[in-house]
Amino acid sequence: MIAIGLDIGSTTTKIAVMEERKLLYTEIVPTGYNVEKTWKELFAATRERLNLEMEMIGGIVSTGYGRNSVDIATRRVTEIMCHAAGIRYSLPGTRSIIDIGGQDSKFIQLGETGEVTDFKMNDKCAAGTGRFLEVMARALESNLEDFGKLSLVAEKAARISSMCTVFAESEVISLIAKGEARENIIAGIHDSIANRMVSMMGRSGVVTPVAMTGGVARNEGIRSALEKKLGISIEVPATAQVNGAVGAASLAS
Amino acid sequence: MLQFLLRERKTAIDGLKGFKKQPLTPKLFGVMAEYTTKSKLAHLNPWRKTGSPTAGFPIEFLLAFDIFPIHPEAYACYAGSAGVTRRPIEEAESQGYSRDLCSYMKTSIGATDMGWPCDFGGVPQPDFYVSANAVCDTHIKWFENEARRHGVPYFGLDIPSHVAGRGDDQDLEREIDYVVAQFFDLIAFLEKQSGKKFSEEKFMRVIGKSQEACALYHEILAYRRCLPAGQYFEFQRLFMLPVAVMWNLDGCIAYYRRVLAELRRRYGDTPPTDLGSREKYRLMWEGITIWYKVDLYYWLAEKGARFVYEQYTDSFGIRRRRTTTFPETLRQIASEIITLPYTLNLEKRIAWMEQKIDEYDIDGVVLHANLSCRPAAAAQQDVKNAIQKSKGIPVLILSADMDDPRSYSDEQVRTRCESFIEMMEARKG
Repeated sequence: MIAIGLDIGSTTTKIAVMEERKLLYTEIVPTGYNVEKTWKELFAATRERLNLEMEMIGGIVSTGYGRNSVDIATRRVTEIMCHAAGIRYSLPGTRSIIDIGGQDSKFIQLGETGEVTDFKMNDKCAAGTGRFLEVMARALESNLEDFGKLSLVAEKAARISSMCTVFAESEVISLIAKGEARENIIAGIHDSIANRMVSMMGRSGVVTPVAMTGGVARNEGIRSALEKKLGISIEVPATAQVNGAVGAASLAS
Repeated sequence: MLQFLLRERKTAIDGLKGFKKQPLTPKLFGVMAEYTTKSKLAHLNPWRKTGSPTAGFPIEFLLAFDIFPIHPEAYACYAGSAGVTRRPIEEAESQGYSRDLCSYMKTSIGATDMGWPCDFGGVPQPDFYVSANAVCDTHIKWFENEARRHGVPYFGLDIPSHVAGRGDDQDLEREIDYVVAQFFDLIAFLEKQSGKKFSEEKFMRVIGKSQEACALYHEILAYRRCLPAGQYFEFQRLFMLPVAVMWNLDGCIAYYRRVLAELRRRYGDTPPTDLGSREKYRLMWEGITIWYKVDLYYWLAEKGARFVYEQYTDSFGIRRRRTTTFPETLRQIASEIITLPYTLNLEKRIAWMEQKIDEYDIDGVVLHANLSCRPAAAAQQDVKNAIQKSKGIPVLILSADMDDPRSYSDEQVRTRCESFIEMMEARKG
């Protein structure tokens, strides 16, 4: 039977399709303002592309902040459990997950058999999330794809002390005005996010191996900053950005 | 009240809808209504003095002078339950009170200054203010400031910052001496405010009733160990009002006696009893409740998760131990104020919570990281780590605020709570 995972995040909506626990297909689209329309269109497009009849689908698990809008879901599961399931599928044996998404950053601890033993999430603030990066990229007239590469050639990371997205943007503008190199500012932004993440993780301890998921995992600069601060290497699965959907699909299998 | 209804029609309607959402029995509704009505009447009665104490203050001293206790925190809780605190808080902030300050204080100041009645957070002007830094550091400056603003006298009890659980009783004895000495200053202050002489005999009668009410309250709480508990946090946080505010000790005793009799009839004389319908998830809450979000407790209840023990509700009604002489009573009150459960050192606090987890058969713990009360949220991560390790149950730290809805995000809270439930579910297999 076919199993489908739908991860409706604040920035992007992801779908993953599995057959007999083998990943067949994934897709990502912007979530936009109409969550229901977005997932329905993505679901329909996926069925059409894979020639899937409804009776072929054995289970649909929805996750992400829009999970409750999926009326055809056989189960609705939180991102925490789905990210854990996704990593159990792609990188079994992982004990800690760093997930930086559009508006949430999470640190998930797993037990020896991959079960969730604890989790931490950012509170009441977009600092250290994908949204923070988006705002900074706009201030620096760059795009997120270039952000990671540019930071790796920085001479030294500029100091971004504010944790508030709005104030940090002011700091960035002030650094630009002072003539600070763009690469250095980007490296500073990455350091700021990494510091935020490490302080959140530090509260409960990091057990290796560590994996990183979510859209921000594609940013090499952040991963590198985190690795330096934690003194460990971080694995990034090929399905990092769709990890929640992959986990949802594996739970639907 | 009528002026308020005419002027603030929408707030009044919203508030009534908020009150209606509370799990009130007719009796408990009557109890709540009685307090606000009497607060308004006592304020209007020129022959009756009113005094405004903070939570944790030994109210019995006021009662021994027939002084009616006007509790700004209780009214702020009413306003929170009504779901109308945002405007008073913003009103207080517009006067310069920082966003980081206590939301009870800001609700109280804002609602009073906007002329709202006590059902909606406003404070009928008392004749004086009294406070103590027993459970909260803000209490001292808050009430000192209120007394200054309203031009009435103020008395502050300085409670030593005791770390209980270390076993150094010699320090405690000295601290008790220090607090008892202040009780005599308080008596002198109250004599001056009331124009009456202090009567030890009357004070001991009040204390006797207070001790009886507190003992009954805790006997009732113990029944929450039963399976099912029957009484949950959303009810308990209102049920504690009579013993927390003590405006009518005789009524409080009668009410609690009736509730206890009903529990004995249902469960027998000695809890715990297993009626074979245990809650799916029995939870412990630590910290002040989220007053404006009774929906959160209902939503968790739909998922089978019920709060059956809270350190918060257990911390009220501390006058449990019977005393017979005046000097002994003063020392006992001082000791009770100094060594509240909140003053336990970390090691003892964890041990105490572990004991409650066993007694109440707890499946998971929620620690409220209250933005209004950062000191109370101190060391929560250590508590969480320790309990998860020793008891193997999930512990969730939930960031919100007791009375300020601007610090609450439904989606964030629900995601965290659902993950927490999923962890409990996975643990149960």
